[in-house]
Amino acid sequence: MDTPESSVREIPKWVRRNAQNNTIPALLGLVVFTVLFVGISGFSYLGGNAYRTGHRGQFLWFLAADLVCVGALVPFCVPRWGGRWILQLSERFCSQEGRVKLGSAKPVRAVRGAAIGFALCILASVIAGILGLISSRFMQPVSALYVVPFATFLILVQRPMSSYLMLMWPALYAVHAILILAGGPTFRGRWDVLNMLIPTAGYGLFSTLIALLYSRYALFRLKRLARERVLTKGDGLA
Amino acid sequence: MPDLDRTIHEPARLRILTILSGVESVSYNFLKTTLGLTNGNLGSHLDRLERAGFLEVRKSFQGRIPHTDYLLTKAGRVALAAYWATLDAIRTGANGSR
Repeated sequence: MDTPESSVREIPKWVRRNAQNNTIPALLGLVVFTVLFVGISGFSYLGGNAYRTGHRGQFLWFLAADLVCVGALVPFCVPRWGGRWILQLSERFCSQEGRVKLGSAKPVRAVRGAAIGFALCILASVIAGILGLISSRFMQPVSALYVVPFATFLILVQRPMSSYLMLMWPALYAVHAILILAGGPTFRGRWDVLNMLIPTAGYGLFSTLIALLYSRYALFRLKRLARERVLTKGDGLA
Repeated sequence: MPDLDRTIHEPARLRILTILSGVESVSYNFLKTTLGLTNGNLGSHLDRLERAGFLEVRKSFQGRIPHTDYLLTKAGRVALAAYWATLDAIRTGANGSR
């Protein structure tokens, strides 16, 4: 039955949905990594071209730019520094509307084990790629064998702090791999890097953006519910 | 007929407790922007809930910026659950007597 206070009883659900889908830190992290990754790949490519064509001055400039990108990437890879900077930055974005804490991350031994296994799988596939055991066309489908289970595990293990919407990322990654195996087109030559960049950063950005949009919708619903007239004498309660 | 807890029954305070019941903690700014209350109004409601033992206040610093977070205490959680139960009982009684 719909009672005058039904809307108030829905408030906790929308607070949680707002907080679970607030992917601003993840989005900022992804943007930083993508920009630096594109910078490193782009400057390496341009530097290589400049070197081959004998433009020594240009080569040195591109090399310096590449080193700056690599130098910037290193601290962002250390959670103690990079994670803290990204959190501080996202706090600035949300300082006006405030913050919600759903719970504290519990140190799970299984996460550490899975992360080590994940890193070993990446290393093995990179070595296999260098040795020519895996062609660049099948690099993404092979990586899907460990990226999809690891990402799914990581999202589920962080429940209730993470959103089910983020499962879109591994799902899209798996679909991408299936399409390539089914004969779908891949990028070649100078655009080869996009074969991995689109499934990782591209789908990641897409999923976090969708979650963020849902979080904004949840906040909108929450504000409407929280500001509604609640109970009055007319409701026969006071 | 059972009585409703007057501290919780006030609309703004009921909303504050309901927001807190869904999460671990929320900041002062979140409550202010979500409820659309003035600083004075929100402050007095929070003060009343804290004095009743329903809220816990946690103050911290991030760098040089002070943060105030609010948590629902165990007593607050029990009181809110009792409030909803009482409200349901009143409504059931009212519907039954019609």
